[in-house]
Amino acid sequence: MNWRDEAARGLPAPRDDEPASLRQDILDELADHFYCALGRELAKNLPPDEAVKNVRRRFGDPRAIARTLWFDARKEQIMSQRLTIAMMVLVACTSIVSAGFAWMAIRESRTANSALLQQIAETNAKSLAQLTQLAAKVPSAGTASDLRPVKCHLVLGKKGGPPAVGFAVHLESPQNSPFPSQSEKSDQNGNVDFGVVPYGAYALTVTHPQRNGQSPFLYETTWKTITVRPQSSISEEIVCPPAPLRPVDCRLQFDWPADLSPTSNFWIVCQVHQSGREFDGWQWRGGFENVVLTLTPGGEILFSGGRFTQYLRSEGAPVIDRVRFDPGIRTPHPFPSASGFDSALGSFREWTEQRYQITDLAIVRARDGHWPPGDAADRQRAGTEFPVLGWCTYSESRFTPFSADVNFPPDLPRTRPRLGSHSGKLEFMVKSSPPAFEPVYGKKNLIRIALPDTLLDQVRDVYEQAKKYNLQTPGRSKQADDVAADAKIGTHFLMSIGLAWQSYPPTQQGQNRLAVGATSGLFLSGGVIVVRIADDAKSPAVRAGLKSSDILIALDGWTVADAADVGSVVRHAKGKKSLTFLALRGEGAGSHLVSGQLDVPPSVQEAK
Amino acid sequence: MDSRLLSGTVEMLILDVIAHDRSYGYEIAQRVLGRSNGYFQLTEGSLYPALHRLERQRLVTSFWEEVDGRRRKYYRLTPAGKKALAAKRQEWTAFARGVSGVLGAADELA
Repeated sequence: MNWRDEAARGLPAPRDDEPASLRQDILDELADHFYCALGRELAKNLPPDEAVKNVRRRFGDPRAIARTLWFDARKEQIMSQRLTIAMMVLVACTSIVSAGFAWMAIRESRTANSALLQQIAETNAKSLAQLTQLAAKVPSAGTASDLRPVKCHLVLGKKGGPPAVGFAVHLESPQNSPFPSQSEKSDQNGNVDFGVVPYGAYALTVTHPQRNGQSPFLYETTWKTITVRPQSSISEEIVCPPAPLRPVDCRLQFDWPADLSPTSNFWIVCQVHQSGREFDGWQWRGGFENVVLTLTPGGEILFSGGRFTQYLRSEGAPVIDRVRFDPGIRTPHPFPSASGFDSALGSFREWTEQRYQITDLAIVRARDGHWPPGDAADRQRAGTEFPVLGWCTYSESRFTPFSADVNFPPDLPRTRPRLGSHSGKLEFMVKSSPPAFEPVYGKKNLIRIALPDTLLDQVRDVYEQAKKYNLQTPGRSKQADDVAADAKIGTHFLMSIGLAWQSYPPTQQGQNRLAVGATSGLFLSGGVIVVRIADDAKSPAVRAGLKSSDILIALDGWTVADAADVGSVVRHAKGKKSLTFLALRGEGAGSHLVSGQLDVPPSVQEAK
Repeated sequence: MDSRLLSGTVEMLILDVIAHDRSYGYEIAQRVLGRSNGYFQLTEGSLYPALHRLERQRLVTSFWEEVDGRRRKYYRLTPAGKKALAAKRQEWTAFARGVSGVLGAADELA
């Protein structure tokens, strides 16, 4: 029998999905092997029968080999097909089960939907019946009889006065009204006719005519809500200012006590309410409703704008803010506006002939060298801080200046009233009528304002405590180069005495410790926090007893807030081999002051 | 020869034989036999399944040529096959060195 045919018998029955050449390839390869082996045997001069016999003996069963090769080639596809069939069966079973569940759910929801539809139909029927009853009672909207006339007559100064010509009058339609809002100008007789409008509540706004050269902040406006009712008409007489709001010559002067030297950089920050003018019950207002002014005790306005009472009440920090001056601001007014922080309060432009009311007032201490901003470089500087010495509000409400929940160390005398037994929160208030004034046009208005004794006592107490420590605040040069040079000296000094440090942010962590400092008369707006002490027992920092996380607040009697301050002190302490330091140590109730002597390393002395 | 010793090394031997030139089934078996001095006699029942397995693993590739009126299937090593051969060689060397070490120590003890 042909050996090739014998091998072919071992192959399974042909399948539709097998490659066309698979069988042929297997048989050809095995046949080639067989003939090669046979050729080799015949080359040994063996008889053909014996040669074939030898080859067969060594080759084994050709059918088994062919079948193995065929199965090996088809194994992956066969397994894949079996897996596919199994998956299909599984999917089919899952589908049948899902369909069963879906059918059950549909049957249940159909019942529920029927009940819901019936309920909705009943509700609709009831609503329709109620609407029909209401429609029978109320006349239909939009008919000619429901549109009512609205007219205004504008007069100057007082009721029955001469006609006010050219005033802009705006009638704002109610929300969702199909009728548009209207804007008109009063005619030669002071009349404005809006025609007929549907009944409803309208906002009526009247604006003074704009004049050439007048600041847009001084445009006066009045407003009123009018209600148009069925079967009635509106004919409003509006009393307008007889003349535009005019700037006045006005200056505030505070009754400053002689024992508090005005040369100590005391400033007064006050929130001023601009009440506007009133004419026969019509309130007119121009500019912002509230402004914040920072003045010298002599009444010179330094700048306007900024947060005041809101900030103190909500955040309670002992420092008003770090004021930054936007170099892009160009103002024709003699004092700039502070900017750089969010403020709901508008900038102040000038005094005008209207009523003013001071609602809040604080006394702060400024650092030297920051004010007034002389040039662009100075305005671009980081800014200045205003440690608050005392403040008050003229309202009846209480507020907490700062909420440091600490127990003050017994060795630090408290300088402000301490209310309540459960915490160290400080509270005070001033019950008095708010100072109010109304400058007159054409006159020199000198407004004298008496400061509350309670407020001055607070300032006096804290000021006296400050004297106890005899701390002063170093002045700063206006030149950025000088400040940078001081910062370099300060950094060199701090590193030479063996400590790593960073500036202490006044409004972030450790605020309680600053509060403790403030109540002890140390008007701290920052300090140099000691981060790490060098591991060297001979270093001046270790010998002085400084520890990690101490806040270095004063050197040689001067407060220090950063490396530049330290450098300034070191530079001026010529010839001194050691400097007295003051530091805050501990957190919360454990905060206390420590002091000692810091040796000035020779290298720093030489550098000076 | 104990066939269990040959188990796992057939593929390495095949890859090595066709590492430098193409070859076909019968020739591969003869080369293995010759290079092993008649020690490794690959039977067709193990040679061809191993060759086809290597082909499916993309370690060898094949092509057909006509010789003496017959179709002959030649095998050649792929780049992946070369890498696999190098790895198997390294593995075998470490294995052989380990076995020799143990057997050597046993000889010394004896």
